[in-house]
Amino acid sequence: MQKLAADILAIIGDYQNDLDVHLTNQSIIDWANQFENADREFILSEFLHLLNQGIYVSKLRAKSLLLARIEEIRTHYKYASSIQFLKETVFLDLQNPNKSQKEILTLIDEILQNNYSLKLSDCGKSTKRNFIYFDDSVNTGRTLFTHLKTWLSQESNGISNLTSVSNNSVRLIVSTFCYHTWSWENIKWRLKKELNNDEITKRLDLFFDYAIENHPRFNNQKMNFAYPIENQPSLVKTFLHQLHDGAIYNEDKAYRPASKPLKETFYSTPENRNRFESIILNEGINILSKVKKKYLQHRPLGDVSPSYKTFGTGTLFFTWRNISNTCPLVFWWNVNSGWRGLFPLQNRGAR
Amino acid sequence: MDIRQYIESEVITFRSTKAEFGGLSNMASGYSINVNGVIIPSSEHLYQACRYPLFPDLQEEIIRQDSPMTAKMISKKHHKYTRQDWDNVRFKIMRWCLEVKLSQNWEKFSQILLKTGSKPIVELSTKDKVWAAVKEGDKLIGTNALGRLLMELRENYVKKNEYQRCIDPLPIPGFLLFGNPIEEVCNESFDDDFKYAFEEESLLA
Repeated sequence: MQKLAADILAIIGDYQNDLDVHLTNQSIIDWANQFENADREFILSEFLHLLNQGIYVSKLRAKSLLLARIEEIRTHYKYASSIQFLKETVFLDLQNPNKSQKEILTLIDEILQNNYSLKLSDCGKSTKRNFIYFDDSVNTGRTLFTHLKTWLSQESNGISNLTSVSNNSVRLIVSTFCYHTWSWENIKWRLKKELNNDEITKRLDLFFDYAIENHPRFNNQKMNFAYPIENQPSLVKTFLHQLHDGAIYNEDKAYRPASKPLKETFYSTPENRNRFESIILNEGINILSKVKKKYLQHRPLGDVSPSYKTFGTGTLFFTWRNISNTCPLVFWWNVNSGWRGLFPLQNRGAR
Repeated sequence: MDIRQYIESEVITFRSTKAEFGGLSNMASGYSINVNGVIIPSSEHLYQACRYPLFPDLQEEIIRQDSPMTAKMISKKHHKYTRQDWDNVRFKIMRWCLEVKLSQNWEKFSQILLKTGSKPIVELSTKDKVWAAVKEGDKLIGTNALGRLLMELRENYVKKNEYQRCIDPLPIPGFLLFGNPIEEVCNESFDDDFKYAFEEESLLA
């Protein structure tokens, strides 16, 4: 356990250091000790395997990825000069303070000054050709959709941003460390529907470092998230059955078909996938059973649209600055249940 | 479907997607479709993908193409993998593709169909006498299957202003996309995915 905890700490040790959070070997072991005795070492071992797939982005790695991203986008749009690209680029600043976009833009400002002798505020001053929306992770897509729709509806020099993107006079680019394939598809479709514009499904460009392939009906998805099969204890079925009356959609997708993924490339083995998913699902249900005040979106494997009759989004992706509430509860739930999530959080789950 | 003859001056023809009635063409962009939660760029992409229900990777290759023409060209390279009953089902599949196109692009597509009035709709081609018709003298000769299916849509739905929000899957074996049965296709915006309520009223007692 000590060795596993040390190896895990070596990967996630900078989690919220900026907020004076400091994970330790002991805090990781304490977290594991909340599981059944027979499962503790397994949980750490399998979680370490998953972390080695690149599901944690440290601050140092984030800087490296962001620099690479700037160059990737520049190359993609065939700019010979980085400076020229940056001068024609606006870094959209649409999220509220304390949200991930602000922090990413701060890192980009640092990267620009160190590598290009430019400040963020120098970019997009004259020609505005590229508009980039940075975020750490696209999970449900709610925030991204809202911001994109608002921005596309705005005007510049009497021309709507939607028109400019549609006729390709400007580019709208989303850059993220991680995205979910299902929500991305839904974002594009909803933009088409709500803006009554078909071009947007093609014009919106996505650059990413890691894809959570969770689309239940797309081809050959890796299913690199927590998505349990149906062979579960009765309390699991009871939980699903007793979800609130508004949970009416996607019940047919609550369980992963046992035949998927076609080839296991994420968990260490198909058997370990089943075991890991089942353990964190059952613990998540235990956590929720002890919580008196629950919200409609809460699910054992992470928040989801309240209308979904599923066990949760099951996101397995983490960054130095945050853990999404779409991740399984065992990783972040900290209040009113006696459970202590691996990643400490303030003001989450208490509302 | 039988072969028909049309007099060019008495019909609405389409060929180029840029022309007035170009939106009638399966090659027209701007009419994307959503089936099983997957965005498909055009009815041509969808039709070609339906040809290979047992080859999901090929379906994906077709659907990932930006242009309908490229999707068709990719498909052409793999005709040996075509479903065995293709000749029996292809017109049904095309009718279904067009119904989905109309349902999910009602405003734009119904306007073009309405604009054709009551005239025959004919796709012009230099060689395709099945889906289109070929000019021979002052006549257009061919089965004109696409044009006839479009006329069906016009008469059955558009002229009656009977918008179909949902289209049933075809009752044929192996009607699959990426190995999954094609489900009822509804024109929705997935707004439920975004109702992520934290308001007080969402609090469970």
